[in-house]
Amino acid sequence: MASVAEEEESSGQTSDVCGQQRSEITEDTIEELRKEIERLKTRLEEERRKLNDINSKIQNSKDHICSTVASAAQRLDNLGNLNIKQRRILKGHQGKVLCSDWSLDKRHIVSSSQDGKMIIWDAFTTNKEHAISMPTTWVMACAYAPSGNMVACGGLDNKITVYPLSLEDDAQTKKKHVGTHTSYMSCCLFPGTDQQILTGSGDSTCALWDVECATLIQSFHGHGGDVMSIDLSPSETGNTFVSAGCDRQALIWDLRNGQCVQSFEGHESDINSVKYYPSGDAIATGSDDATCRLYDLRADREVAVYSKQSIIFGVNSVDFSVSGRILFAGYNDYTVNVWDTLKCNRVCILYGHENRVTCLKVSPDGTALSTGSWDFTLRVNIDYSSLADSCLLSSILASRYGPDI
Amino acid sequence: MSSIQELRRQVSQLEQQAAMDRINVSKACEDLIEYCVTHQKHDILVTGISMSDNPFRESKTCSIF
Repeated sequence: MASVAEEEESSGQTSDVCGQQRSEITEDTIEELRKEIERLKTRLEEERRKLNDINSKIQNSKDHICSTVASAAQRLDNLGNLNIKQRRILKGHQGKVLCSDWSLDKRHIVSSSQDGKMIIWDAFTTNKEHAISMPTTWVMACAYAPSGNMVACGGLDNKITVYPLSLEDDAQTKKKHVGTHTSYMSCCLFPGTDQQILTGSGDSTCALWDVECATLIQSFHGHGGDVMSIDLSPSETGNTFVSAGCDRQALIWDLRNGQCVQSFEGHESDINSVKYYPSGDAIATGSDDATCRLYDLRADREVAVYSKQSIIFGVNSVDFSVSGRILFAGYNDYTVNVWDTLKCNRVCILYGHENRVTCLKVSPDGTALSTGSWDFTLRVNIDYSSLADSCLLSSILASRYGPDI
Repeated sequence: MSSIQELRRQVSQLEQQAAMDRINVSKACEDLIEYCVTHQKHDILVTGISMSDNPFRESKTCSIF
């Protein structure tokens, strides 16, 4: 039967096999293929185990942390007290904030909401520079183009829409549909250029679109459930990205040919967020199972779990500080937990939001963290000491100090 | 027939994944740590509190005028 299967595969056609014969072949082939998949999965696990030369069981007194990277990082000093404080509240959305993104100018933020609005903020002054109404509620994804001259968004309308930003024209009049998924669009990003957009969707696929021509360049099939999050590899040579979603898998893709090159499992529930480690050699995931995990791409396996017995709510969003030392994670219990990525302990908790934290992003220069929530607000958190590093920021903070602006 | 195609896709993907080159976990972890240690001094969100040595810290008091 295997030889028949191979023949079919090589010819790439099965339509010439007819009737009863075909159905028998189909059943046998499916059975063969399922067995083969199981065999390969076992082999894959064996291969991964072979290179695990670290005894990863560190028994923390309260929580059982089984983390490989933590045992390697024992020689490092613990992180000191971080003094990250809330500096800005961006108020204006009439519904749950679902997504946000920083402009590369480190100053502007785009956010999208359940109220069907997308707002462009000046995060320093908290002014709203644009407010764009979408024809749909639940605008689940938004992204700033690298040039800062355009934003993209989408959601329950299944569409990816771009809006050029200019002071003269109403952004609404210049909008352009770039593509359509067969289910909701959950996430989007510009892969280092204004010319293309990468999207993830509830239809289990990711897609790369050409903005100018509004055409599909490449689609990415392999997830067995809704795609919830995508991130682009930070390494310059790597034309890869990662996606994760409701099938509890994180998949690494080749952007050029649509091939899935690696897959990572381990979470016990939906993955809501995925983010590359700044070196590009690892990815972090946040899940409804109340844990975050770190997977190393070159070792091809999980190297850390970030969890505590006391943390029982799901994670909606994760991001790294610029060095990768801190992993920020936004939870359904209204908090942001700040994890030491390497030692795998929780450094502190950021309070402030009055509902689920849905999105969080470290600014491109790594000096600030923005968070969005179901409480309709976005908040910008800045390390107090960092004020000394930026004249602009200091002067603005001096004139508009305090949380209630 | 799409399910057969899907299964075949899975098989070829798993074959490819099983055959990939891997590095030792210890090496991988060391590299992650190394990257962090190298870049940590420029990570404002990490170093913020220990910036008492920072010569720029003084500017905080005179940044208003």
